[in-house]
Amino acid sequence: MPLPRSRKKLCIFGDSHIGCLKIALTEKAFTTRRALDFEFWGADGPRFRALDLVGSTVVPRPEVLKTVLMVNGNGKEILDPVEFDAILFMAARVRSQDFFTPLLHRMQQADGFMSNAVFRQICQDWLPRNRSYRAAKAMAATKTANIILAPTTFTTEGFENRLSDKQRGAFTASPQDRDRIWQELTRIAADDGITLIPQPEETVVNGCMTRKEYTNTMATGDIDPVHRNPKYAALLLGKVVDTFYS
Amino acid sequence: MADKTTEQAPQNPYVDLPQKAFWKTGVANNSAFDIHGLWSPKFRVLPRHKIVTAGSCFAQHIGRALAGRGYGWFDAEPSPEHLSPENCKRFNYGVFSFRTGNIYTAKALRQWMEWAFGVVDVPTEVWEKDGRFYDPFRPAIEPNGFESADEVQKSRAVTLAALRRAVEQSNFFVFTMGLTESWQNAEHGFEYAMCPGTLAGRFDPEKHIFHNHRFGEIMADLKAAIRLMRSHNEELRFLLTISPVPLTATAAGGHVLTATVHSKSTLRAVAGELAAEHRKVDYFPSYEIITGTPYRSMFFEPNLRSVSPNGVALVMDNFFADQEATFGPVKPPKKKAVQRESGKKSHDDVVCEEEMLNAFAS
Repeated sequence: MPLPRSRKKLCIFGDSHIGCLKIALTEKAFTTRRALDFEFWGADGPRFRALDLVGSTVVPRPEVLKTVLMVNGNGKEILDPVEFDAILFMAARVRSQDFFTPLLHRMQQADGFMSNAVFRQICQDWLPRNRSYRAAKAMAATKTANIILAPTTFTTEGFENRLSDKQRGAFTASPQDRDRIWQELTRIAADDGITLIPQPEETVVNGCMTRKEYTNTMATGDIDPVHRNPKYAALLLGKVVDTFYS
Repeated sequence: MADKTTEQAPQNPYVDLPQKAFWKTGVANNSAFDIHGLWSPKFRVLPRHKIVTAGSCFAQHIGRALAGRGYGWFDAEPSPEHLSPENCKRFNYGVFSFRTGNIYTAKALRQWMEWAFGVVDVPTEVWEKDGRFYDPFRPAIEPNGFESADEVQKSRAVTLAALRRAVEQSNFFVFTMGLTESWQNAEHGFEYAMCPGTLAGRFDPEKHIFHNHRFGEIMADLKAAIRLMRSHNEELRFLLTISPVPLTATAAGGHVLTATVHSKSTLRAVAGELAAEHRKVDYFPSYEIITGTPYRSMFFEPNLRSVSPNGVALVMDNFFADQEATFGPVKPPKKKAVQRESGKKSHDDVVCEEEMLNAFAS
């Protein structure tokens, strides 16, 4: 039996959304007194699709190995839960916006009522439809590393026109509406051995958008509607570390 | 001297009739799959039309087949997004045009319409079983019932709104009649979807009475339902069919086979009579295609109740063939283009790449 490590290892796995966490740690926007080492593993959006789940490990196809090695920096070609105390699935294309907005929209409609059984089934159906969720579940089943999942955040405020007419009712969703969904997703994930971290409520505005102050600014000076900044990353990492040590 | 007119006239009225009018040439000389011209439709059904399907379980096959061919089957109560197709079916979304479940009788159809349009109040009765709550008018709509009586009422209100939408916005209302036998509330007269105490509820012989609808009652109920629907959409046209699925059981006292034939024959007579009377009502003979002697019960599954997919396919082939024979070919509906991931990078992909390089490549 391996001896427990004195310093814990947390791997942050995901797509381009792991970028803000890396910057937050590099620029010390987030620090912790815990004996915790961070490592990164993943690939950006289009290349993320070339990461395959093999058993309970994630293996890159040859065409993305270079990117994975660049992100990892430690030469780790395969992501294996046995090598870590915890793995954070950061966004990893688990797109909460796609799920929340039609559901929140429906919840605001006069004839949008659905039974609790239907509501729970929708949540139950959606999570495993995400490839990364299935990978997280497979890793959690090994009972080696703690598996934590933080889905993508909502689109940045100011980009409301990205939502279709069948989603716009979500703008009037209440914190209670969002909480109902997060609670159910969290419960389902927990049953699968995964700790799900909802988007922090203080970062949400207009029912289903992310406050501008947490957004990334692109090199052109334009607002990036999907990625977050180190301020958001620090907030999230605080919750991740708290979760890990709780 | 013989009359000139008499000389030129056919020897009898049958002489000039088409082949389909004779059993020998219309049926006996043909393979079951080559019997054509069973239906002379009154109306042309086009892909752009909104078509509602309701009624007994066979109606769900018609809805699915229409949607499968790109016709405008109207789902007035769509499922919430992200519910899987299997669970949509479990929760009875997309089975009929609204979540009423099976509407077996003309009286039940009339009830639903009268509740939807506020002609009469919806009964407040709710069934409870093992801590779960069931709607007496659609007890199987949720696989394990509802969490509370309040959920039953709220969910039913959504369905009633969908019924109104369906009637007001559609072009065709396809109704498949299933049964004449029913169970009713002795005091208030409303009809249950099935006998209390079977799926849920508790049977009480004082409160629950059996009723086998007669021809005249069915005619009256169906006429009332049609009249009500047309008062909200005068352009609405009706297509009646009879479910070929036999009774599961009879409470009328006789054998289930004779009860089935009695029930279906009565319904068939009503459908024929209404179609003959009303310009906006037609009858489509799916029942004959499944149960007719030329088909030798070949479309029934081994339980001699369920209809096989081949039977449904032949019914729908006849539907479209007879439409074409009467009105000419229909331009095939445009299929939705399948969105495929292209090799091209989207704007968001480029942003993702930059984000990653910014964080890790320095």
